[in-house]
Amino acid sequence: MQHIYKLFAVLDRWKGHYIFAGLLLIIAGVVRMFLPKILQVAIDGVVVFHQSNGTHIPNTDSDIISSFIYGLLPNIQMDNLSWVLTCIGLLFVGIALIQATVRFFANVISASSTENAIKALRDRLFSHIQALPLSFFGEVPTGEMIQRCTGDVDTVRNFISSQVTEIIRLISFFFGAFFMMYLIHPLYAFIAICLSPLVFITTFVFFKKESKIWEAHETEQDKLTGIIQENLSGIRVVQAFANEDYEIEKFNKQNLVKRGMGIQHVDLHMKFWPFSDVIIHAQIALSLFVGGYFTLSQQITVGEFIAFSTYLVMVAWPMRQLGQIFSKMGMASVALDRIDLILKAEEEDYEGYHSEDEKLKGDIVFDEVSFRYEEKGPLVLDKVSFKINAGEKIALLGPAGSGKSSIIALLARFYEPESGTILLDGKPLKTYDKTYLRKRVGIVHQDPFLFSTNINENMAYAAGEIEDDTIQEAAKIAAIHDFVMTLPNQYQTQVGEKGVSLSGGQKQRVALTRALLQNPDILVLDDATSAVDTETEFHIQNGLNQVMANKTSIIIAHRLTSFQGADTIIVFEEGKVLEMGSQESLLEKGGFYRKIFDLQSAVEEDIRKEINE
Amino acid sequence: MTQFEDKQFSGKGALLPFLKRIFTYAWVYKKWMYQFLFWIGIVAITEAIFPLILLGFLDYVIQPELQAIQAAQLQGTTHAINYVEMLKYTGVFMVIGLIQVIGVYIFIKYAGRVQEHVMFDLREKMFNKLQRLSFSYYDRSASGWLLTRLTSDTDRVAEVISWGLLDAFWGVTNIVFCLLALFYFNLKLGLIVMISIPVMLVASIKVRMLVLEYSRTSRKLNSELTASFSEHINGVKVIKSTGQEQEAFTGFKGLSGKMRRASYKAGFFTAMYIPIVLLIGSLAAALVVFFGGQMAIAVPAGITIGVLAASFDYAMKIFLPIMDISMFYARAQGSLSAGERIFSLLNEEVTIKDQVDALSMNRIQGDIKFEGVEFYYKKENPVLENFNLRIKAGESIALVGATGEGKSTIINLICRFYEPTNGTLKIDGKDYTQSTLKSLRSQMGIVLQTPHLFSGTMRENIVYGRQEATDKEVKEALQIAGASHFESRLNEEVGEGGDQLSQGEKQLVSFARAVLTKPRIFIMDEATSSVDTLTEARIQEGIGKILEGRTSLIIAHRLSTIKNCDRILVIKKGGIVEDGNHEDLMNKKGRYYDLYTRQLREEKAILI
Repeated sequence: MQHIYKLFAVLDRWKGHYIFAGLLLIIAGVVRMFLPKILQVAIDGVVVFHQSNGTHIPNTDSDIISSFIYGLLPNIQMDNLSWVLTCIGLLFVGIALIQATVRFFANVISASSTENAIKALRDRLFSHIQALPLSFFGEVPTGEMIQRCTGDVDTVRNFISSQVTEIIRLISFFFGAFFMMYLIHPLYAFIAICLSPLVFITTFVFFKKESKIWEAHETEQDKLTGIIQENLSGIRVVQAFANEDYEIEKFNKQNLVKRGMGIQHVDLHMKFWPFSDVIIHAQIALSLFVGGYFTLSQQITVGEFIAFSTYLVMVAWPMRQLGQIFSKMGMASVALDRIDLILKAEEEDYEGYHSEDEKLKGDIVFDEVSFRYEEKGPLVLDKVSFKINAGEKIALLGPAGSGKSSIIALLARFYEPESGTILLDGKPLKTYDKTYLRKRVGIVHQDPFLFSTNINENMAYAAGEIEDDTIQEAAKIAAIHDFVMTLPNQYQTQVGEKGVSLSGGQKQRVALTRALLQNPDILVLDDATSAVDTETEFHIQNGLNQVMANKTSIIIAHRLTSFQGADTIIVFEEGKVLEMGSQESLLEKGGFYRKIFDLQSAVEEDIRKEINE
Repeated sequence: MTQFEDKQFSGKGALLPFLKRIFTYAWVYKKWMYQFLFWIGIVAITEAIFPLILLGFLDYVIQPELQAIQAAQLQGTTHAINYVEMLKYTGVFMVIGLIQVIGVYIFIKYAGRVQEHVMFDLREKMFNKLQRLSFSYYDRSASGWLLTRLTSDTDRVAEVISWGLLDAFWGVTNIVFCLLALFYFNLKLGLIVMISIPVMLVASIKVRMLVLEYSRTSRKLNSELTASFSEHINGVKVIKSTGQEQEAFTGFKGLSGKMRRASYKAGFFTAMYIPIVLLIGSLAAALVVFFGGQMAIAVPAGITIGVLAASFDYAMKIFLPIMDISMFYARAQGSLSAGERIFSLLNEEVTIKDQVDALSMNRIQGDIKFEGVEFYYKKENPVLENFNLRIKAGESIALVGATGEGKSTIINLICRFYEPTNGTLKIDGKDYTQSTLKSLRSQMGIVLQTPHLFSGTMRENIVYGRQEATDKEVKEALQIAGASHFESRLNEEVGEGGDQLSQGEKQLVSFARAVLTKPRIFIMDEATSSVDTLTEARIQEGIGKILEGRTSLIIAHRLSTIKNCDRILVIKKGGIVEDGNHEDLMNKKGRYYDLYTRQLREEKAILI
């Protein structure tokens, strides 16, 4: 029941429309019940009446429906039978027309409200996801999240678009047909449905089993998809190691398991459908016999018997369908639960200080800042303190996992520190509006992400309205312009899955252009030129020095060449500041920085020697 | 980018060849096909027989008995009801019912099996094909698109040939038998029902095609929606760090609005479908009642009550097989493009493959020779032209030059990921296209630019190229790769695509993976760009060991890595501009000298 309520909640503002569509369907169902009744009138009122030479006068008052129909027809006499038949035919067509029209409108209304409700659900999901904190994305695997937003939403959609109205239709059919039978002969009506509960129960049990097997089937199918996906994305490695046979064997194994599961699923159906059919056949056979008896003992007329046999079938099959619908409802509510997990996650709080035209100066203070990603996880930053003056160029250095990237994450307020304070331009960082803050701080991330659109749009992504010239200028600074000009459609070239695939270094440079066009007050490069060759990097540095003159910039890198001209170098190790100071002072100190420096300048020594030789 | 576009198929011409071709895949299971087609026929016939039982029951039991009873009543006597006759008909009903049930059991069994086996076979064939297709194929095919061919496309096509075929066969048999029965009992009513069939069929196919058209649009939009979700979840960091949440949402709303409209249109025509078909059926039924009634009241009566009831029944139910036939048609039409995608993959020619008389290469010495090699990805832009190069067995070669000058191409050619478009490439003095691919690649150790790992443990990844490697060998390989610190992490899961590891760590694992195969030719394409300085230094120590006793080719931006190579080749515009060892080239004071000394300038810049 809770399931139904939840699914109903998805309908949102369109609930009223749904109820209206449901009402129309009930009307259509009721109208449909008249059709067999008309045949009954035709047989009893015309054919039997005629055969008995007018002695066998039909009982026009046997039940309300019959009397209603007889009421619509002209008075039945031996000499106007042909006219009566014409009226019966017209009545039949009229009722069929009403039924079809009502049903059509019901379907249209339910289709339009479904699509409206689903659009609302999709939109809600999307905007909610955009507002979730980054930490959420680490918890739920991307693939699963996409699956929830697409596959699960589709499951819910399919259910409410077809099954909700179907339930109403079937229930109204069942009760309608039973009611008609009841009017004809109450005892007969009960005999005619006596085996129905059995059908209902077996169907229900079956679909419980079915959903289990189906789930197992889906799991195996997913595994198979996973294997194919991984193989395709690593196909170059597979071929490089001549490991095709190994991959094929791995795939075949899972392909076989999936097929086995599929056949198990088929076998379940193979047993169920005949089983429920046997019960239904038995039900009809029984009713046939009993109906024959009632006709012969003249409790019902021949026409009633014929109408009854039609209702019989109408009652039997909703039972069979209902179990199926319940199982689908189960699947839909599972899907809905999974969607709910996303919707229930708390959004980031964006509100805070912002100003339309004011720029950030770029004074940054970290005071005793400690931080961990998860509540009980390891301490990533341990009482880190440092100060960056406006306009300075800062380099962060240290082995992987030493906490450099966490500094950036805190600065952009993707996470909040556990303790300590961060000040930006003298104000606590947490008082800033997040959108404002992030628009003013340009970050180039370690693994550059490009959208699958053209290069131009990727570059201008965060820039709003912008001239092509400006884009090209920034691209020149990022040393990517020349490359872009060699592409078939230059700046209009599509990138990503459906377009040209760029190398790591090229992607990094596009991402850098994007950050530059954001026109940030503080620029952050998180190992952002690692895949760029030294020569190109050198050009980029020169360009950046001009653009970022007087602006604060923070650079994380491994190569010392990336650090040229840094005012302060901060060396991190295991979440603590190990060394801090200018290049000269760190070299004198003879610590970690010195070690790195020596390693890298060994090369330089060699060169110097060689040149001097 | 034409190859990425979803081709639109105009139905008429394409349907038949498509059906024929998938039918050959189902026909492999001839015995099952016979069984399920036979029994589906039986089920359709029994379904058509049911109204006849009612007919018999009414005309041969109820009516005569009723008349007898009424006659007896008139005479004041009673007539004993003939229960045996009644039981006989109910019995016949049950027997026919049981036959039908057996048929249902068998056809589900075999149709399901045909479906699963066709899916299995198609996937297997495609997967095998994919393993053999060369890099150039993957250069122009997005992996997501390839994946759909093995998943949803396959499902759709297999469904057409199993359940789809079943629907069609059931529908046709059922209609034929219903008509036969009707004609046998009453020609006129039979004609009325028969005329309704084409009307219904045409109307229902027309409406279904409209539905199909709009569902195509909505399916296309749906994949755009998925792409949008995927992109905005994967790229959420960029969106957030640039504060573009609102803009992204506005874009999405446009898309979801389009989706709503397309889905609604499909829904609109779907809503129309059943009412229309039912209405036509009801018209036929009304005519049956009218004409049947006329016949019944004619003198002499031209029809019995049983025949009238049965005809009515047939008229009311004839829409069911029609729906099934049109469903098959729509299904087949709807999976045309899926089928086209599948068959185009299966038809794809494997460009790099073993020649018929290819021999397995023995232990490679490692002598490599390019003789007048030409290569292009696109004919207009040749990457290499008349390229000649001789690498002696055991030499270590470094390739130096800016991006896009042809370094990677040279390596890709040696690995036979691509083949020369002209000229020959000889290994140990023999054109390498005359040897088997496997014997060549299994003697090569290749570290690719982008280090792709497979999900599984670190160890599983390292032994990928040589499953039988011992722990000791793994340890050695790690040491050479400067990654001894991974020894304790060998059982760690690396995640999908190695996502749990950093780029630098992935590079080390892929390095160790290549080292472990003890290759005869070792190839490294810019494989240590993301490792930190300390690790780089460790690799330096190990690299000497790799170069010993085998031919090797290395591309690296950090020139310190390659200083000790036997020969350094400076590549520019697909040609070798300088060739010699470090000392030679330094003395030459050419391009290499420039590159090398630039590093100094940069180092100096730091100190300024």
